[in-house]
Amino acid sequence: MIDVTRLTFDYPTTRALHGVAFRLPPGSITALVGPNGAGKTTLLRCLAALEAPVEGSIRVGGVDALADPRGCHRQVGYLSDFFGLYDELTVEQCLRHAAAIRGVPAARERDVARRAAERLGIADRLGTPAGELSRGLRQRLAIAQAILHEPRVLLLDEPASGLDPEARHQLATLFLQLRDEGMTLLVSSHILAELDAYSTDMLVMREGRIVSHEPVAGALSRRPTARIAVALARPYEGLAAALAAVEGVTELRVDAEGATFVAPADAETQGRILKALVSRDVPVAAFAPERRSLQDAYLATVAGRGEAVGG
Amino acid sequence: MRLNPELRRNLWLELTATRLVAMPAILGGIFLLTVVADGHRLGPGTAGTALAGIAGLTWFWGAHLAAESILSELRGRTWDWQRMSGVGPWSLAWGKLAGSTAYPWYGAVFCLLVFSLSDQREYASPARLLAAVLLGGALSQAVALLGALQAARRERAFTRAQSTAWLALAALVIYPLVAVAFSEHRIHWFGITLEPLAFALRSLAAFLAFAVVGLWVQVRRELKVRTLPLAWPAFALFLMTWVAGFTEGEPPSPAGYPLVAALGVATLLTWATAFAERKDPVALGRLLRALREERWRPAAEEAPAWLLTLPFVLALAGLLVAVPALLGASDPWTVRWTVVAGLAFLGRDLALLLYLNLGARPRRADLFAAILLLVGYVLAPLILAALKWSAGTALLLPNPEHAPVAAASGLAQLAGMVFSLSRRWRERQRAVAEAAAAAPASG
Repeated sequence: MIDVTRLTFDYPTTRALHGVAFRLPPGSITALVGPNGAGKTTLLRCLAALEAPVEGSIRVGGVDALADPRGCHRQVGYLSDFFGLYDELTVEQCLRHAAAIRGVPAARERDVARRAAERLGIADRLGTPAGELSRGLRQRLAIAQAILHEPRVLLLDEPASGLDPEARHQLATLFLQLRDEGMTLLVSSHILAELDAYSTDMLVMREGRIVSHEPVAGALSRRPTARIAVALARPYEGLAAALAAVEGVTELRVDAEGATFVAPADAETQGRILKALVSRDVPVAAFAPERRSLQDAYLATVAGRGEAVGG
Repeated sequence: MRLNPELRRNLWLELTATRLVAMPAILGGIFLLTVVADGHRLGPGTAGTALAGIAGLTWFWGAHLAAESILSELRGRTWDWQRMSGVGPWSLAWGKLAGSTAYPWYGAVFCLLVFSLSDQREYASPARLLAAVLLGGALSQAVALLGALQAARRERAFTRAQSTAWLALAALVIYPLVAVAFSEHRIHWFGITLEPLAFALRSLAAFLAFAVVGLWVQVRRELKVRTLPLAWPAFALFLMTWVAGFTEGEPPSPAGYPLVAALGVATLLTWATAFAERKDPVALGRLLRALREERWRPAAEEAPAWLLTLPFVLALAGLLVAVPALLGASDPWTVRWTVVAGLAFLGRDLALLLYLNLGARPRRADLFAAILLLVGYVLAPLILAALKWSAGTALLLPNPEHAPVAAASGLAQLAGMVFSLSRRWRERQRAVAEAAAAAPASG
């Protein structure tokens, strides 16, 4: 759905993107992560055909964004990190205007605006001026404006900043819903925990280069060891000895309720450890590797790949 | 049929119930006072106030609002969103122009009504004068919006006060045209004698047409619609012709005077746009690359405005150098050297501007260049003149009294600046290449 090759972008005094290349499949939700100054916002603006790169190519939904920027605009919904709203217009007027400028037929304009408001949970604020909305509600209105014309690609720069946990959860649900409806999403965020909830792929950038691009499932599972937690059904004094005796168990910590330890991440080893505990009559109530977060995966990627990767 | 969305958005903002009531109430109060002063009738004082009201509302307030319609979008960070909208450039351009100024025009309608009912004996052609004032308002607003759009391409952050600068620019543009409309002196233009009001009306209409076309072109560029730069050279040609017409007076001037006037206009436009436009080294690099690769359309699309008027300067200067007799001068070489000196100093100024903008602190480059040129063209020559060394001024500006010295000085300075500029450009290209080599391509 998005195909980028050799994308290079220069600001007057610095190069922001160095020959960036990647491909996003339709129906994916890709987390665009990286430190400040990595080039995430510049990349999103190039994808939205708002900036012209020095060289490279961008195809969005089959449209060449450099040769036909207006065609690309039709394919894309974009929410910038520092978005603006027409503060003196009401929520309904903002949405109706968004519908009108995105080519929604006049007869459907009001319905489309109301549907977008309902999707983002701001239907009860239709008569409120945008300038009087809280930060979170403004964010929802901005997202509603960006998705109102049902774009094939949605580019979001820090969409959850300023949202409370409940709103973030609603946002994650909305993104999954949009993905299920066939939309392709590229979401830049510093809050990696939030991306965990809906991302299918992770695109890591640093210093204007792609450091890694892989499915989130792969990023989460690609690790040599895992920390495993064991919970006991009742106190058992021989737990430490039982675990210490198993090959591969390290960093063992034991307390009255159970233990945690680090062991090889493969399922076979974990099965062997569990079998050893059960055979020694350890009253195991729960045995589970601690879930690895996207943040862990990101940090591991950045730490493990100081240099840019090719291919 | 659907109302233009940008016009509708502006009408939502501008024409609220309170404002719709406030405007006639305030104007009604003002006209009540003038009626009393006129002896309880709609006399000449009321007519004059109504005319001034139309001018004040449309020329000044309207121009301010027109400029604000873009600058407020930049401040409010809504402009990128507009740029991605499905609204076409023409709809967005006229929607903004008509919508943002709707409220002043609403007030102007009341003033117009009062003017039409008042005693107009003081005006020879009240209807045509009114048309000139209305055209002046529309031109003022279009110029202010155009100026704001041009500024937006250069910089993306503006304070509210800066829209006043575009209002001032608009006033500067319309003042001479409207002043002609009120003048009692006949206009001599290309040997034709014209009634001032008729000339002003035609001129205003032509300038307004160019301003609206310019507006449309600028919006096209903002919306990333590929656009060949035809409007700006066309306007330059029109302005050169319009100004050149005034050199034909009584007694008849030498045949070359209109050419000198046109050359002056082309030079001024080149110089002014070189200052006004953003001198983006990235865009400059794209232009040079397109030229090297002989991709003429992209090169034309990337060409800055000053580069588009430069051919007019070179062509007219070349004509005067080739046929100096057109100016009726006794010494043709003085004409030639003066023209060469003028060209050389213009080239030096352009090279200086580019050189400073390619430096480490491009944000202050234009200001620094302006200070340098002010010292070079004004302060230093004044000092030399005070010291009674007029020949020395030829080192600093194209002084016809010492034309060969001025030409030699100008050419030497031009060569020096071009050398410095090309060296800085090469250094920059080397730095970019090194940065790219240090950061291998990713993917």
